[in-house]
Amino acid sequence: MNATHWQDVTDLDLLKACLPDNQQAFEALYQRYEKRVFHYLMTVVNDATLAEEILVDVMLAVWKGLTTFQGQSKVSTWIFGIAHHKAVDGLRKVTSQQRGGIPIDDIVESPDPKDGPFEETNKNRLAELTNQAMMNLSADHREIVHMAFYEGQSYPEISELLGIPVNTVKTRVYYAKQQLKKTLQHHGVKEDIL
Amino acid sequence: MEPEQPLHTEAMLLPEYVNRTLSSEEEQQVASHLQTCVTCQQELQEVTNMQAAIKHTIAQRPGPSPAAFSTLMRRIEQEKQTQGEKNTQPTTSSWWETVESAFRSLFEIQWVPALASVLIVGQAFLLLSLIGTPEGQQGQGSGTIYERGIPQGTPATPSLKIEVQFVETAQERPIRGLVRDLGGRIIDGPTEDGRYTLGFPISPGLSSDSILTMLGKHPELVQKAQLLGP
Ligand SMILES: [Zn+2]
Repeated sequence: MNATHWQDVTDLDLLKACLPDNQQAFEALYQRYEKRVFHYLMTVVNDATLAEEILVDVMLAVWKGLTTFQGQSKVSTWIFGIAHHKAVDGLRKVTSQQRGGIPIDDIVESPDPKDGPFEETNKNRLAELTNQAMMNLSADHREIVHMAFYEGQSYPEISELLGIPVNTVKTRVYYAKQQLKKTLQHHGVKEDIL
Repeated sequence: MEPEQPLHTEAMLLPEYVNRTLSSEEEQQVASHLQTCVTCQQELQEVTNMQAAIKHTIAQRPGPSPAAFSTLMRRIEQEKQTQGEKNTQPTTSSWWETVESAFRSLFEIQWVPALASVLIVGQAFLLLSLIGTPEGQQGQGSGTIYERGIPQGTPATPSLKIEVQFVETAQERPIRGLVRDLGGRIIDGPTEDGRYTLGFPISPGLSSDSILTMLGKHPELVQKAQLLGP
């Protein structure tokens, strides 16, 4: 039995399959979430080494919590809730210098001709700009942008995993989005691309 | 510093509208608003484009290294070992289970039934005295059993005193369980070389020999035990 065996299993069934001590099921659960949780942690702590350390902590906590998880929330909400708490702890460890990311003004403005076709270059530059603009948001804002825009989580889910009211989620996503737009426009990203 | 409030509440729901995570009622509300509101149509376009850019950006990031998984597995193994050690030792879960296990151990060493009935009457008192707050604190080094929370104090009644040296690696919880199961408490210690004095209430049928025998059945916890006298 390999990891692909678990492909069509729901999160909840996969979680149940991990018990009492099914390492293959747990490995499948890990594979299902490692990238998502790691990407989320990268958004928040912006440090690959630290993000990887926290990822291990998160999945260890998931493993420990397997027997107590009651299915009262979605598995993803539960896991990202754990990740949120660990990320907040992790953030305290990094200095504000590391946290702020690279100043947006350091980004090379003009595309390098050897980067390939114009379209592709533009897309990559937009990706780079978007990444830097995200990293220049506050940790709260980039976290919620990640949850709403990348993870596509619903506001009630985000509210649950962050432990804040739904209305706060709404306004925070809105302001974070306006902030991102401002930064991108400031760096010449045109209205029609945005 | 924050940007101005959106003109329409619907504007705040647009990311969810794009994600299709709104309730059908809200989705209807946003959809019909969008038919007439140019501002929100433009906002929707922005949200859509921005989401695409963010997805593209984040998806490009590398994943964690395979080393993360091996680290995780190593830590899980460590956890399992720790848990295994705990599970082979008596643990305290509920008040009733504590009472029950305390009495099971009494019967296992075949104390006279008379004693058992005396103890049943006195069980509440016995338990209370076990859980009582520590008193007579002494200056002790770090990592002592006292600091790890085993109740101790001066017994109110005359007692048999037994000096015990626990195994260095013994964990606090099983030690606590053993002392409690025997109906005793820690009344002094540790000395510089790690010896504790346990007190046992003097009662008919409870001999120092039976206590020493019981302690001797736990070589994983007790290194040495000897009678100090009443
Ligand atoms: Zn509108």
